[in-house]
Amino acid sequence: MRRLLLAALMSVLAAKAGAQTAVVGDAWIIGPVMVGTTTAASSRLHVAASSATEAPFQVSGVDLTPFLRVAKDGKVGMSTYSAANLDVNGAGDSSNTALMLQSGNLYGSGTTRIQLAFGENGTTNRRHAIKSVHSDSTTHNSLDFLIWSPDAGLATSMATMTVLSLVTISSTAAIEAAVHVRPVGDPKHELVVSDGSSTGGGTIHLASQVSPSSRDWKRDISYLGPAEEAAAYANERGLKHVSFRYAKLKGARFVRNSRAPVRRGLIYEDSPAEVRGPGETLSLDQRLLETELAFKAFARKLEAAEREAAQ
Amino acid sequence: MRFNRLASIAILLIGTAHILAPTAWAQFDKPNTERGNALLRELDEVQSCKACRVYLGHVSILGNWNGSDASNPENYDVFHQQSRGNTTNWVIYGIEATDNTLKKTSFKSFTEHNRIAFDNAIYRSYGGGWSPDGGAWWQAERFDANRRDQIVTKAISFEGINIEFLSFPFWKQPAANMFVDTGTFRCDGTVEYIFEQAGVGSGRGLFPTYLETCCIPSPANYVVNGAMPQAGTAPSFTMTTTGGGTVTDGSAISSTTVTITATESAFGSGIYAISLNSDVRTQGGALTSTETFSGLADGSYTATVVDLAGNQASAVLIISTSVPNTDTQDDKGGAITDVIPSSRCIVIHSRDTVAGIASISISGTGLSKTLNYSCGIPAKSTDVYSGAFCNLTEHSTYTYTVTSCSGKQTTSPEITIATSTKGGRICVTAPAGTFCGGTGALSDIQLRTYGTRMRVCLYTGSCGLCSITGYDNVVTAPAGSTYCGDTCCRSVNWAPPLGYKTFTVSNTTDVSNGDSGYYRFSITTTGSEGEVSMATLSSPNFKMNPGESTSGSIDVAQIGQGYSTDSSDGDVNVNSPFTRLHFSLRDLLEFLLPFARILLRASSPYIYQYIGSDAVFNSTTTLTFSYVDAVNTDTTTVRIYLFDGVSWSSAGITNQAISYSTTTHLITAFGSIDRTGLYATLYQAQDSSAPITTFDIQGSSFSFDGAVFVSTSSYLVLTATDPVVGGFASTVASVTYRIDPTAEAAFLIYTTSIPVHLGTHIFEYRSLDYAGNTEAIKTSTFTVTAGTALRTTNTAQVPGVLLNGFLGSGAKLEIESQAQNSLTLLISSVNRQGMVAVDNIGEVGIGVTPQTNLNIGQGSIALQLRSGNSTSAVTSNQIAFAYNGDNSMRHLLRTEHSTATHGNKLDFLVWNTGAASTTTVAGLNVLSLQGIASASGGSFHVQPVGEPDAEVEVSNGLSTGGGTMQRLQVVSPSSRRFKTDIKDLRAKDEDRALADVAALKHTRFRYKTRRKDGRLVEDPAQTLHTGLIYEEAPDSIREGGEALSTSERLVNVELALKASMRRLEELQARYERLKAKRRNP
Repeated sequence: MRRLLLAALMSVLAAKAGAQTAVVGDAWIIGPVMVGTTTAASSRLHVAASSATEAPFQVSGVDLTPFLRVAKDGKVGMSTYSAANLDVNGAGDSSNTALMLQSGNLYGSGTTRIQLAFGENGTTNRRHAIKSVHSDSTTHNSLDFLIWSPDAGLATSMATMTVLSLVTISSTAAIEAAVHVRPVGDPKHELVVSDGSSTGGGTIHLASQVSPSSRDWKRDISYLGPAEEAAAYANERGLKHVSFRYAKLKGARFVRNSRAPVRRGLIYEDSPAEVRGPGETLSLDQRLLETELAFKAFARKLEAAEREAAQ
Repeated sequence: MRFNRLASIAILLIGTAHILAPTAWAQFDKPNTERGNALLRELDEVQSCKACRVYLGHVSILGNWNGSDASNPENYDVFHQQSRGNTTNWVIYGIEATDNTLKKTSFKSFTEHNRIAFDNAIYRSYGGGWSPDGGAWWQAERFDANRRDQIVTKAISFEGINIEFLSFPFWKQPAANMFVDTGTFRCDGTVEYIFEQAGVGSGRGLFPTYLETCCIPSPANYVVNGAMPQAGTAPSFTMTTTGGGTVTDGSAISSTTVTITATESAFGSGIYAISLNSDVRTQGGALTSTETFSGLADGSYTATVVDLAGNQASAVLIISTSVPNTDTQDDKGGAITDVIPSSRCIVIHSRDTVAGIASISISGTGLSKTLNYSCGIPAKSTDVYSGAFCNLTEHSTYTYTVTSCSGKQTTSPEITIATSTKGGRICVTAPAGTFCGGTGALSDIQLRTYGTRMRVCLYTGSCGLCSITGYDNVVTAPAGSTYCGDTCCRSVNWAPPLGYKTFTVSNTTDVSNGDSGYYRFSITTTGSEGEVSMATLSSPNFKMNPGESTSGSIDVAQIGQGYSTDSSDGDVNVNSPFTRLHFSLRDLLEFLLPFARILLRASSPYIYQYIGSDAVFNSTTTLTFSYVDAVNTDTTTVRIYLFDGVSWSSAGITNQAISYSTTTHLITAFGSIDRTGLYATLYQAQDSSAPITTFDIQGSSFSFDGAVFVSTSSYLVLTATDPVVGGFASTVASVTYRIDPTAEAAFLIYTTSIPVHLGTHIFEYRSLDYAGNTEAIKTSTFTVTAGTALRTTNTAQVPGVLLNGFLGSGAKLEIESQAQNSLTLLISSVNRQGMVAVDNIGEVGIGVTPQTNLNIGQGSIALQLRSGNSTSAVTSNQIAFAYNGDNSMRHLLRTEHSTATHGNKLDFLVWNTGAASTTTVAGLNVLSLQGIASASGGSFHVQPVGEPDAEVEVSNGLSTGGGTMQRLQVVSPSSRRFKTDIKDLRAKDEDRALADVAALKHTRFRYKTRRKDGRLVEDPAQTLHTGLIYEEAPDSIREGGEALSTSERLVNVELALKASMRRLEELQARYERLKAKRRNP
């Protein structure tokens, strides 16, 4: 009994705590609404934060879950107290999608819409972007990653350089790739595959590698002859194959990595210039070419030896 | 066929209208009082309480009687008020009996039964605030708790006051206690008071939110004396007339003054009002009150006495100050004054139009007899009481007395039985004279009626002398009279049972009886509205002799004019014999067809007795109706009809003809009739217009932005009218509706206002008239919302907190979702398109209806994040991907921005166990999309941690790792500074490589396809490749994951080529040495 009376008393006290207006039913307010301030605002609904109130605005569920909460520091949380400027909660283990953007481009109708733009330091400058292209067929669906570069024009212009495109299959013969690395300019390497220890020390797992080789794509074609074959033979003959382990980059230094597998190969500094690539690399393709040329020289020598032996 | 109801409805308006005046005390809620009784019985009879307490509200507690000397008020705790906080802060309040001030003590003292005396009071707090010490917020309402009337009076005074609680410290106590009268107790008053409070004002006042009763077991020294007063007992009252005569309920009196004395029991609430019909006289609440009502007119009265608790008692009475009407005849129906010439019967007919007849008595020679009739209410004021006293002694005298139920009497003079002559013929001898000349009997007058009597009158042609002879009775009209009146009439009466009789005027002899007498016909014109302004009656073919005729007319000036509805227009005297009479009536009140009641001498008020055959003319009589058409009457349907008491019929009306004047628009209907009756012209009305239904909302509603919002407390009201078109409307037969209908949904009959329910509804309705015209469906759409709406067109400023829903998380503006609302928050554009929406499960949509946690609709840029890094200190992240509603194991998307091409990055970081904790964001940059980065030299840099089998896996759509990479060249980092454990490979390594290469088993093959279930299956769609099989390849070129290393294969080829070169060179050297040896053996 006393507990009942106490509870009832407390409810009465709560109701009398301050001047309040209760509307049991619906409320229609035609004019603007200002909350927490008596200063007229130009917005339809203006909620002024105060230091005494953690959240100036909140849309709650029936269990007081903050569906949409604006904290007094301006951080917005959706179904959570925000730990970022915009913090979206979700139940990932329940097939929940946290964020859905619907500004994708329809294939063939231009690609001007951006799904996600990344501005610099609180500005709209030098924005990188992610945009998407959609099609009702298997082809042409893509996610494009754009990096801002001076080629975009103004600092406030959106990025125009598509660095990476994740695409289903393009019907364009030139871009039959699911992942297309498309940098602007002439970087030393367009794709670097590192392992956990060293830059470029990674492995690509694939069935084949191909190179664009059509005459259509090439200019200044000149055929290599016996002289180049002889030079290659000499180079090949002079290759200093070694076994080694890749070192591990520790800070600015490369240190021994005993866990790295023993590989066979060449040392950049010991190798001829013909097989050297940019950035202290050796070109696998040039090595293969040198080997092919050397083999031709070898074959010619072998044929000559056989002819001579036959005489 | 449907007739003009406007024309026929008038005959239905016969009867007495009863209007019941509401009483002022009807608002008291009787059932609540009954509930009080029930509680009282529970306390007293079931629990055998000797003391009880009852308190209403939620913050009051009464203390206990401690069981000691009950006669000492100091032994009673009063009540304490529980303050906020725990019990250590409790305080106790009470009203000091001595100075009526509020006292406070501590909880401790309360537990020690530190009592404060108080007297009878109701304590109340006001709703305007609260004070911990309570002193400013309490008020003692003093009254005499032993007076139930004061309790109720106090209750009424509280009406409309917001009372937080009421405490009723009344105790069932024996005598000598401070709260009660001797030997009684007041628990009943307390309980009833509570419930009566709940009922006061029909929704206003108090509603018990908490009611507790507590029974105090019977202490040994307590004896309950006296009877339990019964709550809800009505007051008693008596009625007396002037002089003190008692008036009983349902009786009739002749006095015009009535005195009512009302009395309440000692436990009654007091007399509130005494009334006689609408004359309500409020009393002062005393237990006894008296009111006298004087100058009362004849009529019925209801006397009512009401106490303050709403209990009432009533009685009815009749006041009749007039003597009863009597009509006395002999058994032939001859009127009796003081002599009965030819009968030994006296038939007395009597009626009292207010109180009814109580008795008819007769006394005289050898006879003293009384016929008694029952009195009561309602009085039989329209009944005619007849008493037939026969076999009277000739030449003796008798006197009869008729007594009404109010005691008023009519006593006859002495009546002498003069002759024993009997007969069924009325013989008339008109006196000689200009108008009444001639003698002889008027023969063959036959009477036919269902009624009990009939009068036949004979008149002189114009007013002069007339006489009726044959019964020793001569009546002479006053000299100079212009109208004879009824004095020459004779009434013929039959005592029940009555047989079928006829009244036929027939000229069987077809012989003129000259001017000896007149038969009177009366015409009663009946209009439903207005008055008959002119009526003419003519007898154009009045035949003085057989074959002869005469004509004439009598206008309204002769028969009376300006008569109201149902009034007689007078009598028209026509000499007999006659063969054809022509009645013409015209009602200038347009739209209405006149009625004509044509009767052969039927005298009021017994006209109604002529139902049936009525008088029959020996030949047909032409009846003509005419009226001005103003409603486009279909003249082809106009007919003269006869009303037989049940229905209208044109049967028996011959030679009907209708004429219509296109200039005057006068419609005239002719017809031949052969009997008396009620005639009217009727026409078939046409109604081709559907009813019109209007829809209204009864209660709170609001229109906003083109939508109608309705409160749940509102009702839907339909009103339908059938438009009058062409002067006629068949009226509305039914009003129907349906809510949120499907295509086949039936319409419901509308009988009363319709309650509404939450949600948006489509309401359809239509009406049907009696002519079968159906209104087109009308539709209204509205949204029903809960409660009473707050609407303002002004700017709302809320300096405090604005909460939508019952919340309390502390936000300045907070909106709670509701299941019935799909959206919790919607911010819309000027054209009412949603811009930002939060649904009722927490999903947020910007520009779209949300389907995911955050759903952003289309735009040139859907989402822009500005947390990119522009300095070398890369600390900000653009997007964090956290796990399952948690803040742990967050992957990142991070950007860097630079004015140069290089330095612009999109980095994809994946959390791994190398991070400090699960709440630490990812530090492993797995993929970096860069412009031109000076650090790695790559635009697309894959940089995992650990040692996966492959850092980049290129698959095709069919098999893992089966893809093709197109590039210009592949380079490997080869600088000595990248490498350790460098060992030169020697000739034996070259030889081994040569052996390995020589042993390679090159094949042509197709890759298998990996299905979704993980199985590898043959797939002829795969292209043919040439290459090696992992299992058949030498270890030197094998890699993890059953892969072969292209780099190692190239090394093997290079080494094998070198070995081959070396061996060829060695072979060439040996060959050169052999050739030299041959040249120089």
